[in-house]
Amino acid sequence: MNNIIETVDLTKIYTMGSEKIAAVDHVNLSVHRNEILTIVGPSGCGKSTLLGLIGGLDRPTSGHVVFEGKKLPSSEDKLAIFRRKNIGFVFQFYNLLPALSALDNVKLPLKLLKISDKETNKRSKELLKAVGLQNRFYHKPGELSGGEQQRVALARALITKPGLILADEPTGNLDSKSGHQILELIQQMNKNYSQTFVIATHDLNISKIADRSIHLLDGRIICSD
Amino acid sequence: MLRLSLNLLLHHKSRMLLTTSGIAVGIIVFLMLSAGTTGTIQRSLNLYRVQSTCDLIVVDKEFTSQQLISVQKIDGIDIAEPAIIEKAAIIDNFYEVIALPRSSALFNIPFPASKVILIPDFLSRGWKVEDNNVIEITYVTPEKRKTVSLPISIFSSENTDIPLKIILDLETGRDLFDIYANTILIRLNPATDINMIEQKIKNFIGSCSFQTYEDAFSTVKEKNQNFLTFKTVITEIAFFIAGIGILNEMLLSTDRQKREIGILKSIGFTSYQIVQVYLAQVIILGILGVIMGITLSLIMIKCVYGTLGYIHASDILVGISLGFFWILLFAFYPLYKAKRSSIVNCLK
Repeated sequence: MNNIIETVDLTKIYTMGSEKIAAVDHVNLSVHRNEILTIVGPSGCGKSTLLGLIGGLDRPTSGHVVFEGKKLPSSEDKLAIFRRKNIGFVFQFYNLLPALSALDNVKLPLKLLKISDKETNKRSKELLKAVGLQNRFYHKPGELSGGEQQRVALARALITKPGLILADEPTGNLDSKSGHQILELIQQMNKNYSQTFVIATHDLNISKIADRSIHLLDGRIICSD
Repeated sequence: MLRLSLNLLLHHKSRMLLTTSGIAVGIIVFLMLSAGTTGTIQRSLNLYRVQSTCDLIVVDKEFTSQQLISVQKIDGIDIAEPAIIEKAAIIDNFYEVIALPRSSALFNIPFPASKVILIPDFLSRGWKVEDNNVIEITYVTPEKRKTVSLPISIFSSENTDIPLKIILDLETGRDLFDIYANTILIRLNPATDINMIEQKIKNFIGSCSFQTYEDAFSTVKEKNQNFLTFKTVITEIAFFIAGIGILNEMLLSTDRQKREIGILKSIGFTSYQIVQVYLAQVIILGILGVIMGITLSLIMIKCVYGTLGYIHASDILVGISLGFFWILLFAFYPLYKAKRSSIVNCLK
């Protein structure tokens, strides 16, 4: 099976007062295994909503998502377990727990998989080293720069070795140098760990690292290249 | 999971401080009131306490020594002792006169460490230890003021340094206070007909009222029921006010917590695991609040009442239960709201 993810007539409609807005409108999309796919479009075109639906963070109004040949589960808890095992998220604003150190943030997903402390520690440190944070293990997010925080977030997304990483504007809050470093890391991780990346962005430059891009406007795919 | 809870908790220090303080304040109010009520109950029960078992109490009747001797000679009566029962002796800041069991004694007065005693308003006077050997008693009534110095050797004392009780013999008490005993405490011989005894006593001292010891005891308990109700109401109000503070802070911090919950959910925490994380926080806060509350309460009770004897383990247990009940009620509502929000909303 070459596709890791497929969406079938995926639709998400929000109701605002009496108005209904289709944030994602009958999207049919396939994501190939081990590729880097970018979803490009202007602000408000439905990129983040689509990413949320693919990753099971949000429920579609109609249509469904198929992951490795199986429809996403419908119950909250089964979805949580699905995310834990199969999906890594990277957000624009990092979404790290400010109370925990960089190392503890990265370790957190492994705790849920009941992996031994020794193994958890070893893997987390290795990954933090891989993203260039060997001197920042015990720093809390508030003590790290934006680029460093995003690298911690990337390490956290990768730590469980999920099949799919969903990144929502991963460089949107970073200066160009840090943004460039993050993109290099994504390419490196894609090669080294054979992981699939779906990146939502409004920055056309990011598409340069992608194997494939789709363009979204008003919740619909308008072209693919 | 516990470590994660602790880390998240330590990050929100203001919430931690406010919640534990709220619980502590609630417990302090509850235990202080409990100690106050228990002290009052204990003192009022002392009013009726006798050292030997008492079967029958003749009340509301002043009598002469001759009448008392006649009662003592009635067949079926083992012991008949004079006493004063001051029914209205539950007065704050006053030490009550206690009914005496000993035939030779009239007053049995708890003597405080401060060495100054005020006894009930029907006597209205001050007692003062002048030195180690002499006690000075000032006695004032509407009719006269009298100050008498007596050697301390005439008092019975359980403590050689500071007497805890002063027992005056009947004649000294009568001489000092011009008060006759108004009560006779009676112990009957086994299998004695109580109605027959009552009739015979009436023949000697005229019309009078009778109470069994159990009647007297239940009267005191009944009177103190009002205190218990009062205590419960005040405590609930204290916990409620503390709870409103907790709720307010929790609602303010819900945005932060919503984000935390959103992050945990996106990583793969199930609802059950999220409840575990926050339940552990609530338990930690509850334990801290309870420890703080009980410690401060005990210190304050010792300072205010001079003894920890008025506080019972059951009161402490009730205080702990109330503390946890309120913290669960007020801490979980915002979390419940946050938990129900979608992950996307939590992360916005």
